[in-house]
Amino acid sequence: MAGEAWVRTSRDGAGLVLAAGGRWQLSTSPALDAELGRLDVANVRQARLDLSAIETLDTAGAWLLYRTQRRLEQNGATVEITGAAPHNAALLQRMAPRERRSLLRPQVSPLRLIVERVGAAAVTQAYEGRDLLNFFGLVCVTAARVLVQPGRVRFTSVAAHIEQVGFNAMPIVGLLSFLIGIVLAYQGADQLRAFGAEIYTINLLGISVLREIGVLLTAILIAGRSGSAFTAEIGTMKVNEEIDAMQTLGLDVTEVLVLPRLLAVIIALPLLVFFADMAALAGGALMSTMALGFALPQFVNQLHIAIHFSSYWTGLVKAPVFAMLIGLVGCYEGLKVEGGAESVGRMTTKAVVVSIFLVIVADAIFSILFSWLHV
Amino acid sequence: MTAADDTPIIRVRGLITRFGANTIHDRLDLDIRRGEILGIVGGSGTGKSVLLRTILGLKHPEGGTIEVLGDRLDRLSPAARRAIQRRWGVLFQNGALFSSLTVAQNIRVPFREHTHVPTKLAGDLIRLKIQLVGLDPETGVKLPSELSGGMKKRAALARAIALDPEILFLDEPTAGLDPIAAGDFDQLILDLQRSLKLTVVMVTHDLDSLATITDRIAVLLDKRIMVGTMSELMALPHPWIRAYFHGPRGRAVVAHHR
Repeated sequence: MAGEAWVRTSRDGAGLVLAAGGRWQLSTSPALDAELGRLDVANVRQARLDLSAIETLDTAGAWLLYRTQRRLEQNGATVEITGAAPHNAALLQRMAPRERRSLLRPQVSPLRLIVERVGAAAVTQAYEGRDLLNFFGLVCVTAARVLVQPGRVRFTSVAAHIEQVGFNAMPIVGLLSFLIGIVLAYQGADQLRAFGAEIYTINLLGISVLREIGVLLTAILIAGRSGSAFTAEIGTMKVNEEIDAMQTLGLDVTEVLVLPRLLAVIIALPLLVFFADMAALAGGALMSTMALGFALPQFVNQLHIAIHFSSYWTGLVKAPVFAMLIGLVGCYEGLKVEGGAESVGRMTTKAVVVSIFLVIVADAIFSILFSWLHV
Repeated sequence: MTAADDTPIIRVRGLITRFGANTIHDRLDLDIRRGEILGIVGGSGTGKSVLLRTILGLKHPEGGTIEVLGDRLDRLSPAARRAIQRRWGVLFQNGALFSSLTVAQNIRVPFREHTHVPTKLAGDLIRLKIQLVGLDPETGVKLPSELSGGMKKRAALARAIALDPEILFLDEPTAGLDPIAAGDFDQLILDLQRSLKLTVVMVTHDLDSLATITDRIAVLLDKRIMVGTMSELMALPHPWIRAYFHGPRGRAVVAHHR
């Protein structure tokens, strides 16, 4: 292809004649670009660009000609263009920038850039925290207002979300908890056998599942499954301007979109945690009886000795708090979507990361609290 | 540019498209001449965008043939198809800019995909295209979500003309623009068409655009197509055409452009 375009130069002292011909187009531009780059423009006083042999000229070709012309002019030469067909001349005319503006950015040292980025990220985080707290306050106020007028609660919406968040999550939550029960029982027995204390596998299983693993696992699953869905749903509505439409229609977005979701997850998560606890214990029981050689009555008896009512409620009491965090973050990030589809994706990821982070932080706070209270 | 100038650049013969039992086009014929600006009009649901999508190969027709630049798209090897795709540019209705890329990166996509232009030269050409469509150079570093509707269309047009195509397809280019912006955009298309020697195929409802910039108008009627200049079409007795061109809006435009 490159053979289809050519450029010939002849020099006569301070004068330069540059004849261009053939197809000056995008496909031939790399070769022409290289060739014109090698052009020696030193000491040229007068130049003539002869375009009479050009067959086709597109913007790439015209740009190369324009660039050459400008380079010659910057070197102090006067440039004359001859033989250009009218439409080619018109195209060349369009190459000149309408206004010159410097696009150079001031030079900044890399160290300063790093410090700037760290600082900006920290400030952003602080603002995010404040905004989330702000949102929590708004939700509380709205909830209080709705509590006074219970007729305003969108029960249909709440029920639909409970189905989505709770009922539809049962298979995956049940299966994973069951498997974790099996793993815990097996790993526990494997270690405790060395001390002849295999029976305490059941204590380990019961306490760890009821106090920590059941609720934590379920919360993380729901954060990934439903928190992200809240963000994506609300975010897509934001992109479609549905949220704006609601506001102009006088609907309270917090009341219509946020409260039902929050209420649904607060109701559904404790139920799911109970289900997960049972599934994990069933998994542990299966492992203990099938592979570790306990009889089922022995398992039940030991479990009865090992766990107290407090082991159960210390796990379950966390569920509504975790649910609150997941729902809040999910809705908050959804409402923060701006622009297009790409933003929905980014916010959804963020919602999952932030809600899991907050769930684990809350879990740690609960641990400290319970150790204070000796439960 | 091997074909003689009087052979159509796009030739549609006996095109049949259906959605389920619903026939949109029934043995439709259309010739598009090299270097013209053709406007496609028709009532809602007559399949203007479908026709465009079918020519572009985004929808498979139920019957008939489509030749673009002398080749039947459905018979081409993937490589030859890519070579054709290099020679056309498409402006979708809402721009369809890639939302995760800046404007400059959007325009760079066809360069990277289809050419071996050195990075620096490509950068120069990208800046040039941004300038050609009348955007500020700073627009290059912006994301599509930061642009207004009119700027998005201009940026998308810059992407469509990135590789200096021979054919430019426009789907409702002026929809959603205010009359002044729409007029500017029409003028821009006309300028580019003249200086880049483009063939332009545009679906539009904008009577002003039709009157100002199109050479011929194709009207989708009764699952077929009727092509002619605006005055030729206005002389036809078909009720839809009469309602379209002789309605209050049509009359105003025609009066203005006389």
